[in-house]
Amino acid sequence: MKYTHNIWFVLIMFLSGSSSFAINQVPVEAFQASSGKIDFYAIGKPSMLKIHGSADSLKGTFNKNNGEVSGHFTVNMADFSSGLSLRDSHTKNKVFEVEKYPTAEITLKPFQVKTSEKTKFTGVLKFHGVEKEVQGEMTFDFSDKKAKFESSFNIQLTDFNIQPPEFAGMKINNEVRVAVSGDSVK
Amino acid sequence: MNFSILSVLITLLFSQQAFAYPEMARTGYVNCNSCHISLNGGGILNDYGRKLSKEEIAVWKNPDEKSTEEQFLYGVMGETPIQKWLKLGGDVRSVYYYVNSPRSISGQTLLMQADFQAAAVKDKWTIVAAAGVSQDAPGKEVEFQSRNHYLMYEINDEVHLRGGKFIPAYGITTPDHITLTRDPLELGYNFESYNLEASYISDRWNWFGTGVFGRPDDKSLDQDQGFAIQGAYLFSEKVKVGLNTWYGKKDVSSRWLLGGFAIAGITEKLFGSTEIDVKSYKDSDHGIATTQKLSYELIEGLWLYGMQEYGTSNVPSSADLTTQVYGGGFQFFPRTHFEFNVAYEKIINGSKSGTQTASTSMDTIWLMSHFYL
Repeated sequence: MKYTHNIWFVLIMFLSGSSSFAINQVPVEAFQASSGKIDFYAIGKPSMLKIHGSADSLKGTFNKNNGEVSGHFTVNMADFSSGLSLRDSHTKNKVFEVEKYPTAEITLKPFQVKTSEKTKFTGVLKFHGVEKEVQGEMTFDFSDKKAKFESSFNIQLTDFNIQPPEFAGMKINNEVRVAVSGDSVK
Repeated sequence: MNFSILSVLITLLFSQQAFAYPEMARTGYVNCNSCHISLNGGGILNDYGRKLSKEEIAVWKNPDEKSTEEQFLYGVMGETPIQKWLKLGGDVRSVYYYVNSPRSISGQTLLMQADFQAAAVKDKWTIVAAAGVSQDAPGKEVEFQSRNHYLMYEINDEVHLRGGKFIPAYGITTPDHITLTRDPLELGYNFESYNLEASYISDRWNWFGTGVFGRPDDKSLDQDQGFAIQGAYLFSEKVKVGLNTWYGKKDVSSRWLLGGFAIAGITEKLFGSTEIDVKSYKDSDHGIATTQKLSYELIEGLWLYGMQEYGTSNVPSSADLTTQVYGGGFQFFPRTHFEFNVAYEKIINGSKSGTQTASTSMDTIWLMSHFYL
């Protein structure tokens, strides 16, 4: 009898343990960017001109696993536009060299997020043929089957083998702020 | 209106305009020195300003990237080493104007300006000088003058010192010096003076502090001596809002001006600006002057604009005066080096003395032609 009780005890413990394990197991949620863009903010001297360019063709996916996010995004640099045709032509052809390096990519290393809270992240940016770790802040807003995301980080152009461009006396600062934002669906 | 009054009016309205286009805020150029060597705009263009004059302003342009048509005299200096440090330019302008007032109807053509300008840049030093001729009014003698000449030193990317003859920073630098916030307040073009200036220009703030020493070379002009302070904040790459004050002392009078202004690229096509100034002359005139402008780029190189102005002058023991201006026109830049501006304005002057009120109005049309070297 005592032996039977022990078996029942072990069995119940096993089953309860299994069920609690099943409750804690949250499936990985996969999101795909439905729209998004990458923005570049630079300062031009001597007039301290603010230059804002963006490319609106962001694509990519990210996974959310137990509050931890990782992902990968790509943008087509040929879509870059700053609103001035002359500047865009010069930037794409002579600075970004888009024919040689058609895309910019960022890979997010896994990091914990809470919805609507700005969180520090580390990623690897592949830009102008160079891969370099970048650090910045990112915010996710999760709703039922959608998620919005915004992030920003600073880069040094020379880290990516880009000499700060100078055009007709206007020199661009080496430091450029990059922002990635978009909407995604499961 | 007799001819002499008309001449004075026309002189005030059209002579000696110079150039700075706040409308470029539409494309993110809210700081004047993006295109001009002068930190507060106007005068000789820098290399970037010349590129923009071709690529972002002109209707038609040479599609060849190597074309130098926007350069001084269509690139006569070529890619020579001297071109890196010596910048040359100049302006030739004339206006045809038509005035229809209760007393007369008149039309005249006036050569406003024929100027040559040069700037030499060496390390942190820049020297600028202009020389030319201008005519005060039709029939008057053409006179030589140097509109500006100054030495500028760059302490760092953001801080500059400047000394010489130029327009002190106050309000919006615009070629529309006919507005109530320019000539009637003795500001802007036509009122260049000898000054010492310190400036700070960053991506967020513009600060100008100017000691104004008037015109010691021509005391008969009795221009203000005093100071001007201007601060402006860039809310975005297309919006700048500023405040400024001015104290000026003449031989027998003094005055304070306090003003605010804003320029905004509202959309990629639409630009708006506003300026309001309060004036207070010691023992004399008090009042306000305000100017609003909206400009819309119909196509590249063709701008439609409308303006509204209002001004008051309240002189003790005299009539209270008001001026209202409504108008609009087109600015047309067919090809780099050329500008045409046609405008209509209705000007309504009112006066009130005790219970007596009076009002007169006149219509003006003008066509300005401008060729810059």
